[in-house]
Amino acid sequence: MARLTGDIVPADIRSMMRRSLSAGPLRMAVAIGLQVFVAFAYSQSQVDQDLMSMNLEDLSRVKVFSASRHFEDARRAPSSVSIITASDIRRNGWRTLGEALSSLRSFYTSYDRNNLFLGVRGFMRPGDYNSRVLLLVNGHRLNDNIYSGAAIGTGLSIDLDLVDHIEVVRGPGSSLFGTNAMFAVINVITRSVGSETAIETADETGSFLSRASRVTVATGKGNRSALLSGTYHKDPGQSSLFFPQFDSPLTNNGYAENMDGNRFDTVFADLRSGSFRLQGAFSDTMKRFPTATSGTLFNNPADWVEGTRAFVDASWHKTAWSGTGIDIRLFYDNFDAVGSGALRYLPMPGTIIGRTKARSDSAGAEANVTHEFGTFRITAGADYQYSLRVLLRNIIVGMGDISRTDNSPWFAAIYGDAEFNFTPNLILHAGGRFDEYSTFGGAVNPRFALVYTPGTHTAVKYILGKAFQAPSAAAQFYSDPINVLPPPVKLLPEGILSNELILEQNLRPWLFVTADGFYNELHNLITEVPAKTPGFVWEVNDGQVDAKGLEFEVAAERSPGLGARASYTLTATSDTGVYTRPVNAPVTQAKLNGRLPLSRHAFASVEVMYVGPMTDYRGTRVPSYILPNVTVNTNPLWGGWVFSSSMYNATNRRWFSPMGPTDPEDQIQQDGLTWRFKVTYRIPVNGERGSR
Amino acid sequence: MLLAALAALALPPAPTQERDERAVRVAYLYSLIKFVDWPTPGNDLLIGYVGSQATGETLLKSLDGRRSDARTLHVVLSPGDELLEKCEVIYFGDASPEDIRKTLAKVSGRPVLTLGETDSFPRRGGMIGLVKDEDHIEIVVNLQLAQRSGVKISSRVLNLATIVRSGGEG
Repeated sequence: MARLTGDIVPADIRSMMRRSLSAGPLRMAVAIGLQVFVAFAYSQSQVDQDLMSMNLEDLSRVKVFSASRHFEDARRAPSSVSIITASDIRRNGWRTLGEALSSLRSFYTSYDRNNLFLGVRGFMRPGDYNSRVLLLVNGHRLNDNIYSGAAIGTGLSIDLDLVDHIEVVRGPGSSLFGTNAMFAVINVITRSVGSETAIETADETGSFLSRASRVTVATGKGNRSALLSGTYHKDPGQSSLFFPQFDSPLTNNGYAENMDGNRFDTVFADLRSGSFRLQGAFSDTMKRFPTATSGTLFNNPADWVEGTRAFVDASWHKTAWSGTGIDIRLFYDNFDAVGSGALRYLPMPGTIIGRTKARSDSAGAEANVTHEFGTFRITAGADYQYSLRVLLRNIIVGMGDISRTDNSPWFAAIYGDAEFNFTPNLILHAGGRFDEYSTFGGAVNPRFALVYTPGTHTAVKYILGKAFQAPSAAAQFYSDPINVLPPPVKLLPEGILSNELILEQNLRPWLFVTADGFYNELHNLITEVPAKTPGFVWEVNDGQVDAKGLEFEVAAERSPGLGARASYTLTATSDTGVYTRPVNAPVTQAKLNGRLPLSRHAFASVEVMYVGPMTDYRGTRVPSYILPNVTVNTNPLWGGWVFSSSMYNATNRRWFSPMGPTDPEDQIQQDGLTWRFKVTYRIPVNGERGSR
Repeated sequence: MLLAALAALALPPAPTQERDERAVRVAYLYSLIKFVDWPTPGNDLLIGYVGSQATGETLLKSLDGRRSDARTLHVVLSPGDELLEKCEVIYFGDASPEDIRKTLAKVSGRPVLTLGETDSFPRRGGMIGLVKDEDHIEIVVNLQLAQRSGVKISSRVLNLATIVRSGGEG
């Protein structure tokens, strides 16, 4: 049953607030935030006078930014929306999508030196692959078709330099988007190409002699444009990592040597002509893992994972004169992953190499229509996806397959959403989606949102919705004769019932405040548990988690060089399923991002993240951490050169990430101070607008 | 490594500075007014504004009371029907489609210069769109509509603008 909004602010949360307000990190965040806001109050806006004296020709050459627009759009959206712009990414020196997301309130990450895991609103399942958020690029689904995972680390198919902005829509999104959209929908929008031809290169180097290069070619004329970009990245990683669990002469005294390297290559292409768009991406990643996960031998060069993914997506959008909008999308996806490891427990450890291979090819179509009837707006659509194959293999090198499954699941869905503008101040959104899966049957996910805007600078929103995650192909189909049995009963989708109450207030045109209370009930969580056959495990629907919390955020955007965002989150999570305590759920988080101009040509960005202590799935306490990151950026110099230097974990603090059930470690230490230096150069070939 | 970027601060180039798109649009409006002729211009020019608070405040602060050639500009936020009749310019800043439709219907056929912020605005009953294209603001004009209403837009504007027709692709 839906909880009333009064339940969202229970006494234990209020008590936590009182306790936490005396915490050091918050004091620091508030102090820095106040300084930035005081700087706003005293800053003089001379830009208007400059602009007013320009003629039309000069104005047509002025480059613009639009942070305030995002505030206005966010206010009307039937959700709590955060926008991460290309400028945010550049100015903060974020290297991965995960770093960008963890700057947002209630988002946090952990890293097992193989995958980057995302926690949202007090929920991070050990060892999952971020399958409870939906990741899109320009509307194309990026969650893979084997593990349902959203790659937010180096596995992302898109170079962050190509991003125009990232829309992060919190709350249940399955009523429109289907599976995976339980906590958030993250839509990465790549940049568009203007009426110019240009070549852009970026080169970077960083700690551990990492290096990366990108070349992008873009051209546009009229309503046609093309962009082609390729990135190569290689990072040898830490040459030596110490793991106390393996501190024995038999395991190199606990040192994993040259086991942290990774490499990735990506290619992205985007062609547009009028209403038609064709985009495609290919990426190839390889990572060694030093943690001896999944029964592999410690410090063995056979321990690595490699994956490729590719997609082609053709879409067509048309808005007719009558106000009717039509979107049609056809796509093909490929995912191919190999995990390799020297097996630890078999006779003569290390002499037998095991490999897990997973491959998926899928194709699908989506169509939706939007139409306005006076003050009502209706959206209706349908999705279909067919997996040509979902191939899962387990191989002993030299012996061949020890297990192999090949399936062709499909799903089809219809959905609808209506926006009723009862009065100019009150909008009701009501929608729902029905999914039919070949594997488990149907899923119905409705969603309602009320948006009340008593004035032009206030919005109050209430959202009630259900969302789901279909069981991943790996959970449903994978088994082997060594330790994984097929699910004993058919796996059902995971579900979430979410209540959210949001207050958004524009205190000044440049100052935006948000308070957000949520109550999430998750059920049918798919979990690996011991099977009836000793020594084996299997996947079952067994797990329920309740998470409630409060989020506060203040964001200010005075000019491109002067802005800040500060947030504070309190979360109370209870786990009533397999785990008897909240897992990987920090009670408090505080974030601060600020930037100040250093001169006319350069500015500094400071990011401070505090994540409170949490308990891992074994009950071990993972200590809190504060991470300060500092980046100095320049504007384009000499007509096209942009320099950027970043220090991450600038105070060189020790901090840890929790690990999962297949890892021998409870938690592992993360990198100390690391750095990156990056140079970007843009060469206009026939454009007169200069550099970006 | 931070020092490497800091060293660049001492260099004397002249980069293109990014400006708030809201401020740029207001500056455009101020500049455009000088290149528009109305059938019966008076000493005052009333600019009506329909839309979100942020742009409205910028418009009011920047243009209200300012002189443009021989005319004094006055800005009215969310004008009622009575004031709407006196407006010679109406600017829609992030207004809802419903508000745009209703307001355009009220001034239809009169010599009122209407400006919006989206590409679809001049194709759906408005005269001029100040449209963000990548990181610049471009002018999109529905010339047919302007001519029909009696508002004359100078060729200096039209030379910079993309000309479109109602409902079409342009």
